[in-house]
Amino acid sequence: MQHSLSTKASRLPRPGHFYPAERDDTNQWRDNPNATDIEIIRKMYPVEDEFDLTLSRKMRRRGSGPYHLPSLAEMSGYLKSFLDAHISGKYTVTNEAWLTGGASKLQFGFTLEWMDKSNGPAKENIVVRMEPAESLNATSRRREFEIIRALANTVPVPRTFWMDPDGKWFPEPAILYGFVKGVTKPSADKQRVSGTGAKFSPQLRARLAPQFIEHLAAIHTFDWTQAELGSFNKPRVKSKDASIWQLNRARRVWEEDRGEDIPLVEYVGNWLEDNMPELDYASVLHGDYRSGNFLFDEASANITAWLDWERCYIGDRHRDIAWALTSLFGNYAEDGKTPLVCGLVPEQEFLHEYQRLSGLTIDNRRLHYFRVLNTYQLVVSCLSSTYRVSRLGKSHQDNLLVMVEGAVYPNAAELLKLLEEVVDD
Amino acid sequence: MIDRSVNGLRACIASLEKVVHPVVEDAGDSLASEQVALMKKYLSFLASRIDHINARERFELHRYVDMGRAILGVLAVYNISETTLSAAIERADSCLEDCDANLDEFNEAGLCLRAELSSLTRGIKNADIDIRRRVEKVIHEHSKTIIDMRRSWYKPLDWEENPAAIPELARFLGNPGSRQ
Repeated sequence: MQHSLSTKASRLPRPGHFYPAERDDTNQWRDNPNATDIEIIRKMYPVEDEFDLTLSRKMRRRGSGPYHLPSLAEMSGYLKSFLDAHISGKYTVTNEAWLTGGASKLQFGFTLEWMDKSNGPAKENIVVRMEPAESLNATSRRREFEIIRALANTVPVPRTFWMDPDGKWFPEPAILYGFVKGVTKPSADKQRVSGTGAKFSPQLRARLAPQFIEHLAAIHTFDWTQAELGSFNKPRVKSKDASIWQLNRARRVWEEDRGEDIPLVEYVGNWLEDNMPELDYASVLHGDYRSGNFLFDEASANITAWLDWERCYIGDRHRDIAWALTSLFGNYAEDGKTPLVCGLVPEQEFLHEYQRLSGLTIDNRRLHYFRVLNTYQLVVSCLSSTYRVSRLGKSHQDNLLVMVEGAVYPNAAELLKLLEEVVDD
Repeated sequence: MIDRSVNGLRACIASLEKVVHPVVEDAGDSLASEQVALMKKYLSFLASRIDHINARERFELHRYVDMGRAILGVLAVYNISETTLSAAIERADSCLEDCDANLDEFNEAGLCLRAELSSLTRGIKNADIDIRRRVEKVIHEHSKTIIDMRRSWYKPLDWEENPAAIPELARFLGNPGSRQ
């Protein structure tokens, strides 16, 4: 809209819908949305079908009260109902226990002995993976199951057994996969949250870094057209489908969860909308590719499994590459000057090797765009979802979530720096 | 009445450390151990910050008033009037000048002002490109100090790559109501 140079004062255009954050003690619709609220937001921010399902489910259940973490006995009961429905014949369950780790997921481990129809007597350590009522990321177990199964012969992943995608047997949607041995960070590094700048020795880095890059290249060049990925929307090459869905997803979460309005978030959202790249090549993306999300054997330094696939989608490879480059996940080498991608490898080496192994190019402009988008997503979810989830007592990790808000501000500073690099172009 | 909040928080931390944590460790409940560690950390953080909450709210309200005024200044050049933003700024100013204003009043004035600023920002993508660029530059520049203060605020929670580079909170809140 061109402004008028008339003498009469005019007003700036305002968005069709803006729902300000309200005071804690007023009737906040975000605490208890009705069907109309949910429908308005769905229309404002079209996202992939499966993410629409998970986000809408989250909002429909929002007013239902605080989360109840199942007791061991309750979880045992859910597991029994599930296994009764999925295993014909006898089975034995032992070693049931809640597992630790992670701000957004619940994991329950057990040992199962049963007669597998194809392979005969089987004994496996299995993990039930679910989200609490709400978490830092509302994601789909169906998608996670599909992608792990699809990539089974491409990169190390857990073995998938079953899924309960709609929470029919378990209190929340769940997948059941094989427990994999390994650690996410060196045993000696107890300082930081796993994945945030873990310290690997030079010897360990020399072994892990090549695998880290090779696996990323393999994921991005995986032929998804031949895989069973029914819950994934397929973006069109030369379109902005994938970028629109991702930006909308972040904006939708901001709309649904936030407790305060921040002009900076709106400003960056506008920039992202204006500068969206077209897709040149559609890759499967991990969505959270970094150290902390792979297990490795400390003795051999072999990566034993890639985990946490819940943010995966089909889109632009630069998204994953930019995510791995996020400074929150990295640190410096022993010289104190050389930044290491995910604590493993210098940036130029990472980018060079990735291109060599994948045969795909890296475009600096796209990479920059996704660095902005990724940092924006981090800021938005760490600021909005941590607030809403802990306010309503919707997870088993509310304690951790209130502290995760501290991660917003180094990322917000990074956002400003990233935009300074291009805003004057 | 002398405030005992910090005493109370420190007592909770000591109790967790000396009484609860050893029992939980002995019981081998790793989920519970993890929660105790998180509680200790957060309560320590809160104990270090609780006395500064009022000063923080003042500081931020000042910065958003500055942002709002700078935007109005840009718009005035183009003969654009934003009465709702002006009203929100006036309300915030009254709050800052009122020695009796309580935390709720600061929060409400701040929420109202930020809602106006955010709504304006969201809509500005449809405005003339020159106006948009200048307003967004104001938001960009004025956001820096707010973010820097919040980084300092959360520094004890160990999210910074280089914590030594983050100024202490006193640098921002040392003189409540001062403008930087």
